[in-house]
Amino acid sequence: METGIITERLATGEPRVLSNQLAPRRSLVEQAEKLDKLLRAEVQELETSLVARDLLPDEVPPEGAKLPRGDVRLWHATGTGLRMIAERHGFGGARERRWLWEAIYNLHATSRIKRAERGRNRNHFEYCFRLGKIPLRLAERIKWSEWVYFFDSTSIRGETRADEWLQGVLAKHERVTRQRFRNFSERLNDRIRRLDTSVLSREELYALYDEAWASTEQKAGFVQTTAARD
Amino acid sequence: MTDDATPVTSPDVNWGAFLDQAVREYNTDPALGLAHGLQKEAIQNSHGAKDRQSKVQWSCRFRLLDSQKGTLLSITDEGTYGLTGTSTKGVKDRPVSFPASERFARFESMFDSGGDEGPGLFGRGKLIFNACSDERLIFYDSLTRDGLYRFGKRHIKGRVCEQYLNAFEGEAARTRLREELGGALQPLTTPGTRITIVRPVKEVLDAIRSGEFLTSIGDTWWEIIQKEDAEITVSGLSGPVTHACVPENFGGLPKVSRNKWRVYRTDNATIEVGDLRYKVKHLHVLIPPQGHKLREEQLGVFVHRRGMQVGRLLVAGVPEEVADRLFGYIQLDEAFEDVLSASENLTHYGFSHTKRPEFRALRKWVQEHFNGFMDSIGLGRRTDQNARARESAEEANAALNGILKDLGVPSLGTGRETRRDFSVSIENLEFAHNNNLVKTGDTLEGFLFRVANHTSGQKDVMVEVTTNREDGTVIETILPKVLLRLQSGQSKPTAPLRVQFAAGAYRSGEKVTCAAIVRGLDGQVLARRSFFVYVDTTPPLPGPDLAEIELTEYEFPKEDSKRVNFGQSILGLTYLLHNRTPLRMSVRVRISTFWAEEGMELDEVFHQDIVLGPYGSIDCRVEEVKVTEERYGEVRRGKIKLRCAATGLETTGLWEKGRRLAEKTTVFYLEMDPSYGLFEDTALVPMGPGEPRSKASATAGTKSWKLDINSNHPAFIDADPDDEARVEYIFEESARQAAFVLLTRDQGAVLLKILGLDPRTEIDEMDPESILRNLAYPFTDRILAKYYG
Repeated sequence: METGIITERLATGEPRVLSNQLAPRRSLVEQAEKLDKLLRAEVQELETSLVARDLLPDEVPPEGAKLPRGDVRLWHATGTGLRMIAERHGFGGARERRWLWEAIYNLHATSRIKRAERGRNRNHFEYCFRLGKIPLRLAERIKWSEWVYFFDSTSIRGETRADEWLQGVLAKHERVTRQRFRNFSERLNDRIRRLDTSVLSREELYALYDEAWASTEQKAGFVQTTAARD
Repeated sequence: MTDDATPVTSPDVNWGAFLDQAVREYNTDPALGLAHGLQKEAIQNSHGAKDRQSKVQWSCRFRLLDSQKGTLLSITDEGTYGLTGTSTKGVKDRPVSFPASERFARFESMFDSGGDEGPGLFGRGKLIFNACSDERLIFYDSLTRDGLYRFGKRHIKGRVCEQYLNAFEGEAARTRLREELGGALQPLTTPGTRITIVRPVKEVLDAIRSGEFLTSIGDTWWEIIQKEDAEITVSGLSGPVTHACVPENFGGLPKVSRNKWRVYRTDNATIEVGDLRYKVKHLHVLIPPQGHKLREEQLGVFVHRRGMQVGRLLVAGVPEEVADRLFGYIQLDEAFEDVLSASENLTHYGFSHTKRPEFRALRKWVQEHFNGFMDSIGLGRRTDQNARARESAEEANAALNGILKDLGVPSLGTGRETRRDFSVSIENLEFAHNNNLVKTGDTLEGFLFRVANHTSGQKDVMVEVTTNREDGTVIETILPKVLLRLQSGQSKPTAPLRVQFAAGAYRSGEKVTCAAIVRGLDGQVLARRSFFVYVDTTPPLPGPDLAEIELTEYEFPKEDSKRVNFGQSILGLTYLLHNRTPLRMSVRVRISTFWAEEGMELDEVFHQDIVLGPYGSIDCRVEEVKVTEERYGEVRRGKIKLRCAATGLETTGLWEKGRRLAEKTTVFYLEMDPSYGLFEDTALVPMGPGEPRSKASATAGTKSWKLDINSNHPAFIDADPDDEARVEYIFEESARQAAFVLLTRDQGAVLLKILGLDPRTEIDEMDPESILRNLAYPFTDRILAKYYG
């Protein structure tokens, strides 16, 4: 991120600008206003493309209307679009991405792609973003609610290597049942609750995930015939 | 003589201690320090004596000057009555209270205020002049309209307060002035009063030199400066005379919204309290444009009395996005000012009797208008249950804190942890058997203890190392007492030590402690550190705490506050990490900050891989934690956690790689003040209906306390819908838990003192029934009586 981003506007129209760089406020606001215009157009374009693909309704639901939960196809496409926006404007870090999601939620997205705020740590757009990195054919092997359950796990939230590992597992299984996936998430949380996984190598981390996955296979009465990952 | 002719005396007053107490009050929140208090009290006295008939315009001048007695600070007013009336020294039948016209007598006595005209209420402010003198010495001279000139002094020396038996008058007064001050000051020629502080304290000198003194006058007295064009000046030993003015960042106090200022103003409103009607002359709330800077002490809505800014009125639900720039004031008619003054605290910086009907009526009225204002500009407050409870808790906490302070309860909740003055660590300890098993005849050698001084001065300490049995008996002295002289921040090792586990002295199968004890020269234990060995027997597994982290040093920007503003830093942050196992411990130490509300990491300020020997310790120091807008801007204001964590980097027989071995969390507050009360946080927690109504618990790793209110308890459910009932409910629970917190925090002596019980009472030896009946219940009752009284 090379400039500031407007994450909200007060009733007066004054922008609230966040930036990870020191710069005079005036120039920061000017740059942020430019970015704001681009984001508005890009998010609009994203929603239009989702409508064109029959993933979103034409009409924006009225305020307060109950919104459909959405499925993996919708949120995967949303995440792919959001990823492109983030990359285009250099929102690479988790912190800067958080600001981007806040800006899109507060200022640019319609209720069609927004979902209830559940705190900055459990951000819907961040979940879409993570999902968008996984090939759709694999992502579809578990339901959106399971993905949310997975991303919600405290042991997974800050660990993006978990997504790669899961991708490997999904490549080996045509379909993963809801119960098994939830059992796995619970086991994994229990196993690594007291650990700081950031000090573990990829191999060490995957070994822990494999262990939790294998224990749910045994519990489900399966016979493990393949490794959970390549 | 009493009525029954028994000889009596008036008790001795320890004036020095009394003055110390006054200083503490001015240095305690919500007061803003001695220098701020000096200008407030001095102008309050002076403006209260303003002579409205005088042809001379009222003015007040603060002036530093050199003299044979050192630097003087003279505070001279004009356009006042001067100290009128007769000198009553030596008069036996003095009245209970001197009439307002007896200004000289009132000034020379204590607890008589300036009368009923100015903002002075208690007569206590006069003490501040002596408190601001390094010698605790002041002179005063006064000229009245009828030409009477007087000169007097007040000098507090230890337990004694010296004043002339009879103040000098006329020519004698002029002569005495010259004798005392050697021509540095000339006798007054226009009616008024001058107070001269001999050798002002550094805080006051610094404030005058930096301009802070002048700024605080503007903040406090802008109303009379604006309305009366009042002239208040400050001059240093050199440089120009500076005039106090309405703070520039008030932007001219616009009356309507314009130029991105959002303004609410209402005039001449009536508030009914019972059968009485009072008038609010003005309520004026202003929100400047974003980016507009206000100082911390300017934020909030203040009550004014007689032209003086008194204290902040707690207004609930100030939206975070404007909390750093919302300010305002309330001006009342004189009748309302007078009745409300009964709710003020002793230093006139806040309110401690917030249950009085007039205060509550005003607060309710202001809150309603404030809510309307916020709604009108799209910043209306959230109305969910938790938000309401938070606001009620804020109000209840403010009331509780005021009452506890009045009762003399020390502030526990400022949250500054008690830093250890000394620490001891172990170095170079190696076991032969990869655990803490020793065999009879084995020798442990080469290890040592290191003692560190974390205080700000040089200290002499004695260190002794012994081996001990489980019952505490000493087996042998490994290192006889040695004296270590430690400079501030310095650490020194003992000599390398040696223990031989000889048969006879050390018994097979026993656990032996090797302990270093650090004592002051008075024998008081200052720190200790120990490790264990097991003789000829397999050691049990260590407890769950395999490592420990201590926060040993840090410096927040402001003494006694955990507030940190943008652009400020926490300096010299030092953690001491201890390995509490007999194994080598390879760890990654990370020190990071987290946004408490969101649980998100904001900044990593330290990251290092470290190896600790068996029972070894090491310092991890961060010179500066900068709180910048780039790093913390998204938080705006709120609680930040500062966490030091150690994670194992190798799997051993006692832990696996990745295990969080130890953690230490403390907090600071970004752009906001902590509650400064007993409870740093109050939250609604859904417990069972039959579970306790509330629970107080210490916040891990800090000195703060948290109060959980059971939101499912039928009594809370009953009170919740009504704002007032909810505040009272939370207050009563807070009061009930206050006794528990004090007892848990070893503050039983405070309870004994407040309740007038024998201070020698051993609370530890009291049975539970007595603690409840004689301490907890009466203490709670005392708080509630003050709240509802």
